[in-house]
Amino acid sequence: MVYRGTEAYDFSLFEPQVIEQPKKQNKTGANPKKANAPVRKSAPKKSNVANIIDNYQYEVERNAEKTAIPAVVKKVMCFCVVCFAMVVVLLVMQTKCDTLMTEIAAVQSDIKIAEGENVRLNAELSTLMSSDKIENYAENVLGMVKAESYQISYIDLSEGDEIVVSGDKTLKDKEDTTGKLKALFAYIF
Amino acid sequence: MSRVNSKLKKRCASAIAFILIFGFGLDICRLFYFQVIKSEEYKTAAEAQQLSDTVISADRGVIYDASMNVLAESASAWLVYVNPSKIKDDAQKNLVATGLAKILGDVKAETISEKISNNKYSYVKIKGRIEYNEKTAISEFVKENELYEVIGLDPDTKRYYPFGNFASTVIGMTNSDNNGRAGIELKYNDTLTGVPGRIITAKDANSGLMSSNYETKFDAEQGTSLVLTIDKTIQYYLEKGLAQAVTDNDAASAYGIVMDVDTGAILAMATMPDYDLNEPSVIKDKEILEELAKIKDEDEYDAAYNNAVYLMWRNRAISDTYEPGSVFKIFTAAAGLEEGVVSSDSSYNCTGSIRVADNTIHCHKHEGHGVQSFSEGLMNSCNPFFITIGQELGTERFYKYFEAFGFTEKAGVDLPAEATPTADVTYHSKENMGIAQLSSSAFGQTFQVSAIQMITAVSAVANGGKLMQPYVVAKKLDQDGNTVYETTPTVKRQVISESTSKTVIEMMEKVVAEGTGKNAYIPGYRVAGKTGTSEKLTVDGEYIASFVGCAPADDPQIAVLIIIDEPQGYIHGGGAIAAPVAGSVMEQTLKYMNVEPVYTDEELSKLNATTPGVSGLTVSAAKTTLSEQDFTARVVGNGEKVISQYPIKGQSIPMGGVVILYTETDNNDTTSTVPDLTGLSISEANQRAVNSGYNIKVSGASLDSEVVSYRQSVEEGTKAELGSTITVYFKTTTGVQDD
Repeated sequence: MVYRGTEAYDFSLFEPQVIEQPKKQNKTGANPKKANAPVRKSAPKKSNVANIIDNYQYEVERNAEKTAIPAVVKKVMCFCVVCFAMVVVLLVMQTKCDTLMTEIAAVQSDIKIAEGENVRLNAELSTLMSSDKIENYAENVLGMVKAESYQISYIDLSEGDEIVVSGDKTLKDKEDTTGKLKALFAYIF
Repeated sequence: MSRVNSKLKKRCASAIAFILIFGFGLDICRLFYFQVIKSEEYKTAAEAQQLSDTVISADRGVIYDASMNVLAESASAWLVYVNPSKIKDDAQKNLVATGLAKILGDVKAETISEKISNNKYSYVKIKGRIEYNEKTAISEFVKENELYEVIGLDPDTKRYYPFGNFASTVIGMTNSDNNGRAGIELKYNDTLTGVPGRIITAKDANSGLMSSNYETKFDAEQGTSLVLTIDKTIQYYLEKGLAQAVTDNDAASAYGIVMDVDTGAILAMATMPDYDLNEPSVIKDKEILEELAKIKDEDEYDAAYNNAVYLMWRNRAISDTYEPGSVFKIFTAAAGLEEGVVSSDSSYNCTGSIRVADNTIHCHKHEGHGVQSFSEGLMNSCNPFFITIGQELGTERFYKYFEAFGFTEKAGVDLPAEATPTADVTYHSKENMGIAQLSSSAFGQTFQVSAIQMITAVSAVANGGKLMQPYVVAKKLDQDGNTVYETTPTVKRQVISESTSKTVIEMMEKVVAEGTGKNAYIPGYRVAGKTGTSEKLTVDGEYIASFVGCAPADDPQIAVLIIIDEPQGYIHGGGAIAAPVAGSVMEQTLKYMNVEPVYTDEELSKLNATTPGVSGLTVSAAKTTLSEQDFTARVVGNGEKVISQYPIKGQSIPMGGVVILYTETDNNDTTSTVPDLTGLSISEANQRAVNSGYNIKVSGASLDSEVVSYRQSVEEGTKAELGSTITVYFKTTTGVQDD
């Protein structure tokens, strides 16, 4: 009886075996699985130990083939994972977006309140700074007296300001440049 | 058998087909009914069920003065309401009423309780335009008492008027719905009102709002802002002058306008008494309140109170008409000159009266002015002279100028409720203008004009004959502050020639320099003007005193009209009571506008002098220095040297003023009692002030030697620092009578 629980105790592996030559591959290649399967080549005679090793490797490969997940399944799984990730990201973004929108709305509301308070406080300030209050304070508290018309000196600026800069180098430089250019043209032509 | 089956099958198929066709047909009909016939109704119902539509109220535009000072601005506020249907019992109702009354302050608990007593209602507004502090307090109150379903807060807007009473009759105010109710706020309501925004949000099955992804927001657009031609400083001068005039003369009211003669822009316009724009329905005038308090019947009281409020809101400068009196002689003179009926060389012998039809019309100087030139005729405000000019003009030509100066039409100012001139009601139509009407109209009686009409016409005389359209709004700004509209001054027509305009202004200048307008004289400035006094047609024994002037006379820039309604007391002439106010307003305005004064030698001799510095000198040396410069010294203390002086070096005091010399450092009492400085001439007032240790500043003085002081800036009997300056106001009552 052959115990096949594990290969470590598979004594059949140590028995002499007849290795069949693989069938010639069908030209049409009808069975792609078989075509892809590792082909055991007719090897030169080997010792039993070498055969054992080969067989072992062969079995390992076969088992690996059996347990391997098909590529399509992998793709589908990948796709699902990506989709799931995207959904998660979208949900997170949506939540974040909602939170931010709520915050913006709250900030906008605060701004509106602050603007209202600003107007109210400015109105209060303007009330305190009205012309009659300033005049009363200046005259009655500070003892100030308004300037008389004859105490004011009037300057006529109807003709505008005129600035005269002594030693204006800009003009001189321009004149020099023009002169040099003229001299250059005269020399060339 | 097979035939029976076949028949049965056919019947079954037919039945099924019928059921299907009938069913589907019915559905199609119903679909047609819903989708085509009732589509709008169900569409609206579906939208209402699926969508939440919230209106975002738009901020009203800002109102600025000419220097971009904010005169009116809106800000977010809240509205508190109660849902009576959610009130559980009387105890909760009382809690709500007392709680809200305590927070709101000006709403009584009883009023709230009454409002919320009917539990059929789900929304009862308690108060709008509440501010942030009140809103926070209400939120706390709701939270503490778990009244979330009972009390609610909705967004609202509040209009702030930072300067309260300032230019109140011009700016106007808004009602609880944020619509203009008076003044600029009413006239430009559509411009100032913004476009409300909307938030449309999808609702879920429970009628809760869905996330912002299902929300469409249309932002509210702020209303267009307005920049007025009103200048805050000039407006202040005018309001101050008018308020003083009402107090001094115990008048019913006073109103006035300051206009840019070249453009027709109104620089200031005021009516006194005025009201606080932030509390427009509150009457603060004690006399009115006393009158109202006498009314016992509640309905009668409410009606009287409302009438008083509407009267308080009235912009008399444009809504009231008055008999112009002698001020109108300006236009008769202009028409006479323009038509060649009179010239500068014309003369007239006033005997004190003139016979018109079967009546005798007296001059205000019953003994007559005697022979006088045309210029003197205006200066003396001689009635018979101007009746004669009117008669020589004739109805046709007189009416032509009456109409051309704009007295038969509205001035067209961009303010609401301008008085409408009505033929044969407010003025005599050409058809019904007989010799009597023509004669009385020629010197400004038996017809009425509005203040805005009068100042527009005077501006036409001052600016070379162009009748301008008056305006208050200079610019319109969008919410980013860009100018979207700018008012261009509009010339309505050329009324008189430039040469006539110049001649009339020269004559008006003489009225102020030597005639009835002496009290409007301003040292250093050439002022042209005309006084007017007329008896009110509606109230027996009451008068309207007025003065209209423009300055500088050689190049008029501003025109000022002051009208004092029902002044009390024996002196009620325009020259006596309105001219000083106009003079004061013009002086301050010209100084503010940087119009340089040019003094005559006579004026210069009366100007103040600057105090020399005498601190550190011995008392005798200081006295000598001061006396050399015509100052009087008054020594306080027993020291030998002057430790300090008042007024200090370089201050301006009148010629011959007093300088207080302090010789001790521990002078505790450096004050004295201010004497009565009224009813005196300039020299008497100065002497009395100097004797008491004070200096005076002469205000409103003319070159006339007969001026008398009538007011002082520091009241008699009050304690004031020795050497300080008291402004004393002078006017003359001689030769200013013109009625």
